[in-house]
Amino acid sequence: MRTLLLLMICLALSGSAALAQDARKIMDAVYKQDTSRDATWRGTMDVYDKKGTLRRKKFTFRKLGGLGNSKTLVRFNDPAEVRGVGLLSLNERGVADRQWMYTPAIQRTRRIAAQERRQRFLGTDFTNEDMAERVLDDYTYKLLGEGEMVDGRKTYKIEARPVSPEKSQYAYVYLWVPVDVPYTVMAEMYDKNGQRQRVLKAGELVKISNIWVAKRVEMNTPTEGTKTILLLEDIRFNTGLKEDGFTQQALEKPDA
Amino acid sequence: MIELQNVSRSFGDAKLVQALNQVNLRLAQGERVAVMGPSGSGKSTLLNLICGLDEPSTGAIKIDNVDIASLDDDSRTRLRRQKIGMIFQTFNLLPTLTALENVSLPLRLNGVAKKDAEQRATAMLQKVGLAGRAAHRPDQMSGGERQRIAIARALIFAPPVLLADEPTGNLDSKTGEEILALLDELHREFNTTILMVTHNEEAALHCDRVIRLRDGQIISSSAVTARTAEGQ
Amino acid sequence: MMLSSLASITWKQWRQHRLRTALTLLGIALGVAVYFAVRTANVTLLSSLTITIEKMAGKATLQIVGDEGGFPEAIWETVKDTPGVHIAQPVIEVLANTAFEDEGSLMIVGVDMLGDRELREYQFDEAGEEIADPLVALAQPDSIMISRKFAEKHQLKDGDKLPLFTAQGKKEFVVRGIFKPAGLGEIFDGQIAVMDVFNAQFVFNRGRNIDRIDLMNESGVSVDELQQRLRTRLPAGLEIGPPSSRGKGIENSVAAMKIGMTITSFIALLVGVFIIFNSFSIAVNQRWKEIGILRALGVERPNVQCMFLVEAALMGMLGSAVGIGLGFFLAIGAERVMSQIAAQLFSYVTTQQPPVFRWDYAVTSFVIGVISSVIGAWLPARAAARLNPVLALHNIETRQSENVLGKPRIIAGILLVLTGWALIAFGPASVGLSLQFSYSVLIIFGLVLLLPALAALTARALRPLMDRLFGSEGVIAVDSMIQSPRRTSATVGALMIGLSFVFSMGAYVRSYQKTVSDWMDRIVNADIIINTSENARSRTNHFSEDLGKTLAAIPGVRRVENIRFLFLPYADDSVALIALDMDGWFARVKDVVEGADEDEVKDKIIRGEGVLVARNFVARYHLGVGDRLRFQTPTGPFDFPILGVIEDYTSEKGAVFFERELYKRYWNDPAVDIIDVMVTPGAEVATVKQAVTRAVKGQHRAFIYTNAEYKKFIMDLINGFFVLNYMQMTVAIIIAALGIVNTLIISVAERKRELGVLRAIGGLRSQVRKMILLEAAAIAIVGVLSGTLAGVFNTYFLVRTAAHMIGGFTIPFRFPLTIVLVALPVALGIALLAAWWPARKAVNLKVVEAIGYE
Ligand SMILES: Nc1ncnc2c1ncn2[C@@H]1O[C@H](COP(=O)(O)OP(=O)(O)OP(=O)(O)O)[C@@H](O)[C@H]1O
Ligand SMILES: [Mg+2]
Repeated sequence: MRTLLLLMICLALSGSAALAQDARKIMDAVYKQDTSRDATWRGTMDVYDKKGTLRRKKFTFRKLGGLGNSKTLVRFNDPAEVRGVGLLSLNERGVADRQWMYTPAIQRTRRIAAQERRQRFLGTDFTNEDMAERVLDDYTYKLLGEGEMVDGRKTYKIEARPVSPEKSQYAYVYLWVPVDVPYTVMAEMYDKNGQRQRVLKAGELVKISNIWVAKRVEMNTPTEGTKTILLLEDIRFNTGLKEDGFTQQALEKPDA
Repeated sequence: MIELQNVSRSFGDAKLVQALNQVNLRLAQGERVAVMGPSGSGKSTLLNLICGLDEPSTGAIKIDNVDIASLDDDSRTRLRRQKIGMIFQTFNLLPTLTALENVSLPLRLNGVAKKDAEQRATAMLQKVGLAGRAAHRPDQMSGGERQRIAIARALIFAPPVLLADEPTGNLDSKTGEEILALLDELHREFNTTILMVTHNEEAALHCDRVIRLRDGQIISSSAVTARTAEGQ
Repeated sequence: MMLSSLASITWKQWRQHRLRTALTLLGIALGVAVYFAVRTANVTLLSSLTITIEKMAGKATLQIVGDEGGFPEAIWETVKDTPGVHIAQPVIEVLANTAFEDEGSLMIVGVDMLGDRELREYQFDEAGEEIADPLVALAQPDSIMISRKFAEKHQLKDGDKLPLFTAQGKKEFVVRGIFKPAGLGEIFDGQIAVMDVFNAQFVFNRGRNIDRIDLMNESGVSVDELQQRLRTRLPAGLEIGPPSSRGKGIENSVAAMKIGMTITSFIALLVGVFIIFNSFSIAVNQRWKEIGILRALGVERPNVQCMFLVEAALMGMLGSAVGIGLGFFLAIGAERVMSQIAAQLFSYVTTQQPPVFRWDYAVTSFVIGVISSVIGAWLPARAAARLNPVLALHNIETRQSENVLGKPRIIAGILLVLTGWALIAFGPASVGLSLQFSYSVLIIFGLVLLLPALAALTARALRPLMDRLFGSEGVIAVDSMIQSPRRTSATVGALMIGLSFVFSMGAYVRSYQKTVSDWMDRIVNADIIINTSENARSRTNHFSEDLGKTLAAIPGVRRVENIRFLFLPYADDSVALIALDMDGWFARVKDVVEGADEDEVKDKIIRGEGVLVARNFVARYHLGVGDRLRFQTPTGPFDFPILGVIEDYTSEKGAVFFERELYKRYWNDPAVDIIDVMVTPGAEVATVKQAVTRAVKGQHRAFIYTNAEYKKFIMDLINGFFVLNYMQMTVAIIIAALGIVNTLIISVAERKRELGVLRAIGGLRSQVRKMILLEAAAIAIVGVLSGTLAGVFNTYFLVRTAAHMIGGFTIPFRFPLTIVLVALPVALGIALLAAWWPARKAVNLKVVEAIGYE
């Protein structure tokens, strides 16, 4: 599930970036801070529709490998309707992501096609574009200011513009990175008309195994009045996950 | 036999044409009357009224003391069929029927069986001298022959009254003479009352009396003698 | 100059004879209307079928379609990996039935919900809002997305249950999404739902099969190129082509309907020509004197002819214009009936479409209308031009010199009829239906030539009867009919053409019904028959073998046989395939196999060593016993000898019968379409049926019939098809009625003077009326008789040629006695009604005016 990939991007590490450098340097630090070889956590995802109705799902998340060469497996375990549903993603540099979904009710694994960028991912507030793994060079950066307070932290405000605008639903994105933590704690995505499409907030930053992680991530779609809140628990890094836990066979074993 | 009392017939609403104006006329049984007058004086109208094809605007027409205005269309038609023979200026034969069929038609309409009707019609054709042409259709016959067929048809019921509208008008004088002779013969045999419209003074000589019409009114009525006719 | 002054005369004529003009116009208009309507309805039906396909195809540039059982999903993988394929989407289509009362079927389209959306045109409201939880929708196979219209109709909202009948019986689905009526939602009037294709495979027990692959080519590769490439990579038996080409297959299946309708439209045009002919004959008659005067004044012959022809062309233009408008509305009705039939008999689903107005059709119809008018007016115009002016002027009584009873005419007529008949009987079948249709037109023309003689003959025969029944008026009426054969035959002709069509259609229908019912008596011999559809069959609703097992356990059930009934592609068309328990079937039929020893065939068939085929199938493809029949199947080529031929009317495309085990083996398809139940001797069929009904009720969407009920059901289905024929017959009756009304009104008007004379010499009003009505009746009788004669020839054509060509069926010729007996009073009624008004007018005629001297 790509939401989680994005989160992984956001869960940036490396502590030493808090100086007034240029924007690209700041973001480079954000991208590089996660040095983990693997990651595991349990998540709760709350999706609120415009009427405020809540749909909650629980899942476990496993990831092997780092940026640009990672494998993730997400397994849902609550509610009952989705129990056992698995998502496997393989990310490789230079190759389009490949994803599969397993549904236990019909015991089938099926390929998930590359979807339209602006499409919501499985009904969440994350679009497919938001979910895709990104690298530093996908954007150009500009430092807009310094000192704005977010969640009690002093931040840099950075404008990021996609290198290939035709490939993005967004014209530009504002990013807020604390001066003392290399982690994007807030992002606002704007479309071509300057309309604010989404607002991302990453809170409850903790440092685990020397890696910064936000335990609470919230994505808002102000134009539609919906939001998705992701809560992370039981976060562990480098527990020694194996390659064979990230295959189609593994995907088809709901209990694994 | 036939009596007209103050009979008027007018046509049209806005521009009233008085075709007949206050006509009084009496025909005795077996009397032969010639009606003369210029074109448009109302001669045909008079005949149409008497045979019940047309109705007077005012006045009464009595045939055998029955006012035909009091009869409905069907009774009038039956009266016409049985009591009044009508000879038209232009024959009015049915083009698709043979001479025999044309002549027997009134009988057939009266319900006479075809065989009987044709027998009687053949006899009538013989009388008008056309027995040999029974199977011919009108378009295969000359004008005089057609008129004789028309007369035969008019007389098939041996009607007491015969109305003839210019029976010789379309014929040459010799043929006309033959027709008139035929009428004389019929009169002798059946004592038929004849009312005959004609422009021909010669023809009028075959009658007992001449009435003259002008603008829908009878302007004179005189008995026919050879002299009267010549004197005119 | 001259023509323009002649035109003004024409105009005055039209104004003076408004009624005749109007009726003539109506005649042309109706002919053109029917012609135009048929073509429009046909193209509308096809376009509605095609639009459905296209909407379902979304933006796909190519589609891969197998036969009705679908094809393995593995093909999809091959397709996806083919270079040049941009997107390939697997699709399953299921026409399910809702468990709602009085609710029709619901088209369920299974698409890959995780696949590329680019192909599909349907949209979900506001970007996914309406699929509240896509993950649940995917995870739960019972998830279904319905159109807003359907949702509103049944007040369904997210999370509500929607019961549907599937192959596994009644199942509850859960509404997990509502999409707005765009693209897909527009078609089927909102009776459409979307599912995940893999969930659909699962719930509809389709294994790993799909029905279709929709694909889009990469921009660098042309559709044709990709089509070729796929053809070499994919197994044979799959249809690969752009979505629009699939319409052609459908066009093939509905071809039979089209031919029938086209024949009707020609008949209508023919009657139109006839009405024009009548009308102009009478006009020329009425204008005898006028023509004479014109000629005397120095108008040349060609100009007189030209005057009439120009007049006819003008009438043709006006009538055609009206006809096209009329036809457009007629098309709406015709299309409804046709699409209903398409749905009932061919299980094609259509989308209601407003009729397509095609300018090319309009122009063709217009031109045909004008040409027909000119053709119709040709002979009368020539007669007018040849008129002897002296004779014409001479006297009114000479105007009717009729010479239509001439020997040359009769000989020509007889020759035409014989030639037409001989061509039908002995002509080669390969020349095509339209040419063969011209044979029957030949016969009609021959009969038209013979009509005056025929009319005179019949009238003479009628004379004594009329005399006895109606006295002298009757005889006079008949005589007047004999005496003007031209007038009579004009009226009779219109009636004859219409009636001959009605008779032949009726006879054809009756013959067909009788043949089929005899056939069913021989072939349908199970005690209880269970079908998946209330129509002939369902493409999508099937039973599983389990149902048969359940039924076998019911007390009183001796034996249960499963039958699979589907259509497979064959040659460029399709063929019905009936896979059944051959030993059970053979145990109940006797002497059905032609061309081989039945016992020998029986053994081989039961062992699955060959197939039986329908007689029309061998005729169609020129096959015979011993020839081999080949199909592509999911497991490889099917190649078996034809062991015998049987008489069968299952499909006009032909049918193939073989052992169901053989089918299962080759097609890997255990689905069942029909279940035959045999009852133990002594058991009450009705009781067993009740038990079967109870067992099935609420579990399966099934239609249960006893033997007699089933036969009736099939007959009803066939009769449903004949609705079209009845429609054609109705048109023919209307046309015949119009023809007789037209000619009677005109002919009475024409005889004004004659009728006046009749009245003057003592004809009562009632007598005149009686004569006119009796003459109309006599004409009707002659019309029915000549119509019967023409109808017999036509029927002969239909059963001999048309049925054979369309369906390869051999249908014995049967004389349509009942229809003739019914038609007689109907025709009499129409004639009397048609004559009523002119008779009234004639009776109220002012005698003095009527016989007026000029
Ligand atoms: N149906 C009618 N409508 C109007 N006017 C009429 C009608 N019939 C006759 N008339 C008029 O009545 C008058 C008398 O006509 P009628 O036919 O009796 O004359 P006629 O004496 O017979 O003349 P002809 O010698 O020319 O035959 C004429 O002026 C004629 O125009
Ligand atoms: Mg006069």
